[in-house]
Formats: sequence, structure tokens, C-alpha cells
Amino acid sequence: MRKRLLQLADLDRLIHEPARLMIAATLYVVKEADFLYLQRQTELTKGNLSCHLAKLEEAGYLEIEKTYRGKIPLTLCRLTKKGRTSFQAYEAVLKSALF
Amino acid sequence: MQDPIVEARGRIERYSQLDGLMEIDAGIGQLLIGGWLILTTSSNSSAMWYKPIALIYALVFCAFALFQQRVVRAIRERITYPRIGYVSPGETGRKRGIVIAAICALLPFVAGVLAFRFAGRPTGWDLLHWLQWAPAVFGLTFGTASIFFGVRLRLPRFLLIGILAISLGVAVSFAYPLRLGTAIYFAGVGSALLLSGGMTLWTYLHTTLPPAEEA
Repeated sequence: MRKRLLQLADLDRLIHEPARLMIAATLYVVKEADFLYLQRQTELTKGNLSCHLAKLEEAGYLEIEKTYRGKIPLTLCRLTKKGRTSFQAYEAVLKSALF
Repeated sequence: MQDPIVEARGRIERYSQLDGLMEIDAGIGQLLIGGWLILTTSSNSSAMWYKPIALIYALVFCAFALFQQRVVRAIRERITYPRIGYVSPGETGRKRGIVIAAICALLPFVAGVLAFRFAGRPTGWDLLHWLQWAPAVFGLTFGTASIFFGVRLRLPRFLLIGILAISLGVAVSFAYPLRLGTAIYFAGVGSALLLSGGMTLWTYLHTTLPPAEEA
């Protein structure tokens, strides 16, 4: 029990932050989503969301593709393989320690 | 407490039904089938106007089949994505869809076998006798799929459409000859889908507004 509890100290802190955890959990169950969808789901402000997306991208957890749909700019976000693996590991540690 | 990941997956599935466009699309398709059956059942095929009308109808039907997805996508790009954003379900969602479609395709077969087993085989393999039950089988297949989606996505309107499809399919199989019964079934279910989709779209357009620009 103690060993499992101590695993919590090794949690990935980049994902552990609540806003980034919401982003990762939202993107984990989809192939890709645009900025507006993420904003709606997480209820973060544009600036806050951009900042957290940039941090996840910097760590290689996230890919951001800036494109256009017709004349409308579109920012598509998707988790990378590294991001998915990290989220799975985070989820596993949390479940094993708490449940 | 439900697993948040499972909950998130459910949210993605519900997302694709928020604007009612899928129902409108399916409703138009079913109304076109119903209209075709009514045209071919009630009209005199030797009349001068029949062939051009039938040809135009067939062209409209082909155009609908070819372009429906493109039209739905174009409408979504204009009214859905700017309001609630765009999301593409993962591979898992697509695989689940294929499994559900396979189950729905299997249902008529199972229903046919059961009907043959329990109907007392009054007319053996007389095709017309079995075809008379086509609307009931259509209703059962579509209705079951609709109820399944309704329960899974927690959308009561799909439950109502499912119950209507099953009841209407069985009722017209008893009450009307094959072609007219099938036409009534498709027209009825198509109208219900169109009404439900239309109301959903109207509500969506009036309650979900594009996000305001931040200062």
C-alpha cells in the first residue's frame, strides 16, 4: 500500500496540472480537435489554453497544426504517441494509488 | 462514479448529434424511398408523364446518395464548427460504428429466421408472404438501432423514433399490402426523423451561439 502511495511522487507533473490534465484527457479520447472545441470542453480562456497547449507541445506531448477550413483559420491539436503513453502511465499510477 | 474517460467518449458521440443534421439527412433519405414507392404504386406506368417523372426522381435520388455527406459537412463547417468546434473521433469510435452497423445488418436475418420458425410456415417459402413482413423487419432493425443509440447517448428523441419505427413497421405489415405498407412506413419514419432533426437544429441554432471575441 505504502509503495503504491509513494508512486504518486513520480506522477508526471506536466500532465498533473489541472488545466493540462483536462486538455490531455479531452484529446486522449479523440483523434484530433480544434482550439474552439478544447476551449468549450475545458472552459479555459483563450490565453490560458494557448499557454498550456504550448507547454504540452514543447514537451512533445502534443502536435499543433495550423491550417484553414475554407477562409477560416483552424488550429488542430492532437496528442502524439509520447503524449498518449504519458497520459496512460499517469492514469495507471493514479488508479493504482487511489483505488 | 463513471470513468471520466468513458464519459468523455460518450460526450464525443453525443457531439455528432447536437445539430440534428444526421436525422434530417436520414429523414430525407427515407422520405425519398417512401415517395418512390408511392409513385410506382399509385401511378399508371403507361401514362406519358410517368417515365420523365420517374427519371427525374431517380436522378434526385442518385444526387442525394452521392452528395449527402458533402452537403452535411459543408453545413457543419458553416453552422456547427464555428459554434462548438471541430472534433474527429479516434479509430476506436469508427470501429465501434462498424460493429453496430454489422449488428443492425444481422437483425433482419435473425428476425426472418425467427419469423419462419414461429409463424407456423403457413405458405412455406412463398416469397410474397415473407416480403409482406418487410416493413416490420425494417422497423425492427431501424428501431432497435435507434433505441440502442438513444440509451447509449442518453438522447430520448432516439428512443421515441425507435418505438415509432417498430410500431409503424409492425402495424403497416398487418394493415396494408406490401408496397403501400412499405411506402407508409418510410414516409412515416422519414417525417418523424425530419421533424426531430428540424426541432433539434432550431433549438441548437437558438441556444448555441458562436463564442464572443475576448477583449
